[in-house]
Amino acid sequence: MTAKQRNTASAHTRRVHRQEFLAKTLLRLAAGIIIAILVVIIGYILYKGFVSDMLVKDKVMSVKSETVAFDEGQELAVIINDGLRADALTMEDLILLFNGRARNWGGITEQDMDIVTYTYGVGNSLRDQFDSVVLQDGKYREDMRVADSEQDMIEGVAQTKGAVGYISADTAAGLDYDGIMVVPVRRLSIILNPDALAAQKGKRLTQLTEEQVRSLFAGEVENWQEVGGIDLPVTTIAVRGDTALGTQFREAVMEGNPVSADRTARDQEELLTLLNGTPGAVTFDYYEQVHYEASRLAIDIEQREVGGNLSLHFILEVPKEGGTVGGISSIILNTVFMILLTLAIAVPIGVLAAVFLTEYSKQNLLMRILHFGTDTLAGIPSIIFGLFGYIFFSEYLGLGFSLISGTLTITLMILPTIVRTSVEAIKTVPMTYREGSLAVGATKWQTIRRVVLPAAMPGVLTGIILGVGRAVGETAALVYTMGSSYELAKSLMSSTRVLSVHLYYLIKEGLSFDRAFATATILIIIVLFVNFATNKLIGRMNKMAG
Amino acid sequence: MDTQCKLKITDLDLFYGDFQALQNVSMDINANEVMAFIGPSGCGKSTFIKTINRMNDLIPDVTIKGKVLYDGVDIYKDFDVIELRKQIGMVFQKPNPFPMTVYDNIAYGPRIHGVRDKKKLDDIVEQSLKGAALWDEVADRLHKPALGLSGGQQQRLCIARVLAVEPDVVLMDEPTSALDPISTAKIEDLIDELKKEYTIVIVTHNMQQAGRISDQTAFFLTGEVVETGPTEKIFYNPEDKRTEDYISGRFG
Repeated sequence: MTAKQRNTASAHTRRVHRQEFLAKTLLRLAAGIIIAILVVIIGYILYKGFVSDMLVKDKVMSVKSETVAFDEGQELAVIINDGLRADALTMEDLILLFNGRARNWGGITEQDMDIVTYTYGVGNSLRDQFDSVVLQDGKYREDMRVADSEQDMIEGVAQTKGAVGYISADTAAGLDYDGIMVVPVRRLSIILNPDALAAQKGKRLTQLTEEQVRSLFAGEVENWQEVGGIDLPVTTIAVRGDTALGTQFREAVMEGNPVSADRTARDQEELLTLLNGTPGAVTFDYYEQVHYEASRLAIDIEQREVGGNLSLHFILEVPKEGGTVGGISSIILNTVFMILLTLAIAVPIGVLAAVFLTEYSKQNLLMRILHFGTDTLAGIPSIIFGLFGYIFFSEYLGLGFSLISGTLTITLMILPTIVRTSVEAIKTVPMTYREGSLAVGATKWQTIRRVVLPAAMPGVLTGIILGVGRAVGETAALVYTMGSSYELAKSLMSSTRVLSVHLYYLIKEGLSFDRAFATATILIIIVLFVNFATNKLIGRMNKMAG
Repeated sequence: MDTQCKLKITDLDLFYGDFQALQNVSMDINANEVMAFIGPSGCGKSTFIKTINRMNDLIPDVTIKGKVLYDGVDIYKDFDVIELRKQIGMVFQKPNPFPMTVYDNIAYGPRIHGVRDKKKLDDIVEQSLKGAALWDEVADRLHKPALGLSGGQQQRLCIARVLAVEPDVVLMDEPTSALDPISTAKIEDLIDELKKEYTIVIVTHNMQQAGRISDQTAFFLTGEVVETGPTEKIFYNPEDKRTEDYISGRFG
């Protein structure tokens, strides 16, 4: 056979090539699946951790304006101390702030700060303007602070934490003062004639999206059925375009597109009359009008709020009010305490036990028992450790729900892992190192301490990372032994909450998935960091080993 | 110079469990000489050299009968094993530096025996490395990993490590069998120098090496010493026929 003839693939060769190709494809597929899982899970959690993207329901639309406008008189601007984190305040918020129903900013900005309201003296024109809108029923807070002038107001709000006040829009336009922020106000509500909100055959209109609002006022919707309501024709009413209300609606909501109004009202009074008289009617109005006159008619507007989630202040602030306000700084610290305490107990015991097993115990039987024991313990579900910890540490030893109870439980859980990996690591250290050491007159313990253990360090550290990973992720066992207080642990006997447990409660309560994802993101970051740091350390040790 | 007897071994038997590895071994090893053990593989040379510094103690199930006298003292009865190993050092077949810096490797011995003073350690490290003919090559990389050195350098490092504890006797178990010819030559020269201050016992597979560097030679065969004597005599005028056969290469 010539070379050319030999080169032509036989049937067998072709089959083998095919198998090779198939094998490569399968391997790539498997690897791709793993990577996809990794990217999807971690990517999704990190995304939700850093970006908050939620649908919320409010009585006012999301559109906001820098000034509070009126048909007559000065426009106002609301100012707040810049320590407050708010990109807008709803008119509902303003009313609650100034009439004293809200006591703490927590409900509005999730910050634990007392509310301090500023106003002007009676008879001040700005005050009259403000009261006509925000405090129509005359119910003022007792602890309101009075400013003599706009300058006084500005200085007061700038210096007081949690302060809110108002100035004229003209002053606000040229304002550049440290400590103060002009906060836009959301004021537009959508109100319906009661007939449109009635129930019929089990169906009832309870909310509209902002898209649906635009459709309604663009004339695209004929019947309430089309937006989830009952069978009733739609009648849109709009106030004239030359009013402050009309202008704002046309510009901000309709973005300049024409408003298709079946009826037009001259002013707000006529607006409400027309609304009450026309079945199936819908219109827009300022929230304060509706709040004081006919609040039950303002319908929930479903809006999409996108913003930042995890931030530095979330990590640094202390949680309050059951964890709904503030950050999670104390919980992070509690987690760190638990990890350090666990390692402080588990590592010495685990490593020394491993040394005994490999270096000093001659009896094979003892070795076998200990091996079997640690392997079994390592496989026991962690919830069983939780049960044991609860009965033994919390109840029998009387340690209760405390940091020490939880830590001891976790220690028991990770001890087998640490012993196992340390034993393997020590066994892998070549006999030649030991011989070299003994040959210069070292004792057995000196050899272990100075040569064997340092050489086994990479393996031992790997076992420790595995242990830390398990400890950080443990939830069930800690719920039943460590307690649930989110405050910083003051002593070993304090009831404490760690990140994983906090996440458990957040999901369970279902109040804030934003916070849940932010907490999950922090957990992932901690794990990534521990792995990264330890791998670097191991890398450095391996360099020593050549 | 009188030849002083450093090590006197009398009627040594060694058993691994029931198996007898060494039978009736006796010999005298003189101070400041190089004694070479030669013989085919598995004949007990390495086992025997390890009885001199009691490294066989590490192996479970080993029984030793007979006497090993070091400067007249029975090492199995009246000698602290730690002290013994300090005075009788060992270099192994495969170089085994610790996974540490060059400096820490050499300083290891002195440190475990209590030397803490940095200046003293610096001195010891330098002297030992010079004594092992390695100083010039590593003086500028004392604090780099020892495992970065070449094979021959690593072996000289191990020799320096042993010298650092100021021994009397240096045992070498096939020290050059894992090295290239040039490193081997360097170490053979070193041994020639070392014997001025130390007593050297060397196990070697390589007959020519024994011929080159040793003063006395012992020929081992299946756990027994067939013949010992001055190297020249063993090589050119052996008394036992088995010795002659081995030397002339009739079996290996």
